[in-house]
Amino acid sequence: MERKGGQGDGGVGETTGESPALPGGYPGGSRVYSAGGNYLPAGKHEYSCSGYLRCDNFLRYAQLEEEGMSLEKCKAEIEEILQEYSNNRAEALLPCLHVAQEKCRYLPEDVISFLAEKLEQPKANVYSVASFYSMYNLQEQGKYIIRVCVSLPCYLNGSQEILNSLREELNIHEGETTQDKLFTLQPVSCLGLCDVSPAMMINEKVYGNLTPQKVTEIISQYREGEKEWR
Amino acid sequence: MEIILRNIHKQGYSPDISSYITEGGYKALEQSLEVKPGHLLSEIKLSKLVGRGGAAFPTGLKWELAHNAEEYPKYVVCNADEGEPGTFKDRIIMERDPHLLLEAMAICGRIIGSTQGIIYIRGEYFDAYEILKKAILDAEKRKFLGRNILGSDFSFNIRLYRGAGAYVCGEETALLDSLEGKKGQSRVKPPFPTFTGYEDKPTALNNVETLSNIPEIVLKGGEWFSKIGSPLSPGTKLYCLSGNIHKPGVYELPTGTPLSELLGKYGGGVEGKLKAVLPGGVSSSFLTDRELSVNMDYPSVAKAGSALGSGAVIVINDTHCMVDIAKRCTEFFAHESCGMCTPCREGTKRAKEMLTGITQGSGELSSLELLRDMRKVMYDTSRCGLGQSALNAVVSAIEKFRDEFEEHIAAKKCNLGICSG
Ligand SMILES: Cc1cc2nc3c(=O)[nH]c(=O)nc-3n(C[C@H](O)[C@H](O)[C@H](O)COP(=O)(O)O)c2cc1C
Ligand code: SF4
Ligand code: FES
Repeated sequence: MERKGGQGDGGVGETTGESPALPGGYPGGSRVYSAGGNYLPAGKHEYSCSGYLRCDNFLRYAQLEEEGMSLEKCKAEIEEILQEYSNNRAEALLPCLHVAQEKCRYLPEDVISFLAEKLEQPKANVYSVASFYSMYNLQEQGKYIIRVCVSLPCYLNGSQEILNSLREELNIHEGETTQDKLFTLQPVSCLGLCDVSPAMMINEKVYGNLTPQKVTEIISQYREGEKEWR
Repeated sequence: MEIILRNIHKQGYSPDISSYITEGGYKALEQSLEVKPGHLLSEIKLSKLVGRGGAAFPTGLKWELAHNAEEYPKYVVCNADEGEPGTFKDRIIMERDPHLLLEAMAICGRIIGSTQGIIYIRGEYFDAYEILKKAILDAEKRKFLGRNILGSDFSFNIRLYRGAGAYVCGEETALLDSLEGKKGQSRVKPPFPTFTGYEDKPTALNNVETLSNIPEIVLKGGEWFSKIGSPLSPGTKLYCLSGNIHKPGVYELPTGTPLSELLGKYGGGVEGKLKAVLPGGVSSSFLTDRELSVNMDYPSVAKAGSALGSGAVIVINDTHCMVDIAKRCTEFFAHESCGMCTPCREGTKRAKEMLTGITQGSGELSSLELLRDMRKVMYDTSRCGLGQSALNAVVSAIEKFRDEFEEHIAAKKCNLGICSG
């Protein structure tokens, strides 16, 4: 496999021409990718992870990119949104990123380039917005994104156990995706569901008053549902 | 006494426009069209309503500034980014009574002279987003929104804008930047949004709960409102009870209701033995059982050394270790700091490191004083409220539970066996 963005071992600042910080692939790898947070790179990806050349997450990203996730999946919707915001193009960025994320399950580089071109912004700018917000992902996500609340009210009611049992059930760390690409586990800040804490969301669905047992049941329901589809 | 939840608690009430109209909905808007904006404004000022989003700024004054601003167009922006841990009241309003919010925004538009409202709703509120989207269409169909509302010369539109997961976007200027398609990082204030807001135009920016009081104030008068609850910050407040409490949920009570009554009579009592309460979410300071008599209004809670904030009352029982809880709070802020200004970006990280050290048995006693100094520096020098209040919980925990911290540092152990060595 030929790795894209391999020039990243020089660090974030190194460029190969084009717009700064975003030559060709994405140098800087997962470090730049994690939305400025300490949650995503948990487990083996601690704060100290430089995320440069040898970073596992980075390699995984480069691989995915070659599988041809493409702009085509969301181009029509993006054009529609751009139309809607024709008076004020810059504002279209967040809605466009939302729809791209929804269709592609992450924000592939071709989407970033396309938006930069359409919005007449540097690619680096689109990229910096995309990496600022925690709902946008720059690595491919599972079909189901599990957002587990780890803020204080949920913590007081046992979110740690919920997180542990999800980790066990799915056999992944926080921020990772299962091998079958079904589930991604994301610890997140308060979801506004504290009255039914501990709580989580799976894509757009909310689940409250969780127990480890309930979590196991919910996950197996999703797995069963997948079998039926196949 | 319910103003905001009055409809929601009625049997068979639904978020549909027909339910809202049956309960007298949009009457206040109709009435607003018949009187001068100046008259409405004086009623809002008379009500002494203050913002429910956290900062407790007088709403009447804010709208007067926006009303007097002479640049056009002006905007009405609703802050529905609800992200303070422990807060879920705005979601309840939007999901159960969306037209209350729409009506209030239209009235605000009428008062300040704006024709465009925007609701900035947090990205994770998928249900509320869909409900509001439908509500806006329904209101437009019935001429409560759109061109020439109810045949008058007043026009007002509302659109929705989704956030994408960043607590700091609840801060008003960060919200405005996010609304303009940028990273949500706080602007330097002044200028305030009432002069230089969305697209640098005059903007009235308010919390969902604040706005939801408006229709009743218009119908019943500012004086009526000002007589409810505590005279200094009158009206009702939506208190969000969460944590170790028997009946968590949203309770609408007159301001000034004692904390003990809120926890006991309404919350069904504490699960286990009470250790500490955060009356205004993780940005506020801890209160203990000695302070349960505090009246839950803005000035009284401030006098007790904490803050009412958005009304997130988080209850903690004695099975929890305060060092561990303090560490959790710093993790939140370190994660959510937007990174714009150094004191907050670095301060939140260092605080998290220090507390992690203490929980792991490698802490130093000097850290406790350092954290107190850092809080002051961060309060004085951070650009927005996030950095200014990030260490409130930590420092109050150190003040009120110092022995727990010292034990972790000196004996390198956690009596409750929660913190790992
Ligand atoms: C870090 C931070 C987060 C905030 N989050 C919210 C929020 O989620 N919702 C809200 O209404 N206000 C929030 N605020 C307060 C807003 O900045 C602003 O004061 C408020 O929306 C004004 O409306 P009000 O006067 O009706 O309260 C936050 C403030 C800070 C500093
Ligand atoms: S105080 Fe923190 S959140 Fe606010 S602007 Fe500064 S870095 Fe950003
Ligand atoms: S703290 Fe978990 S949903 Fe609010």
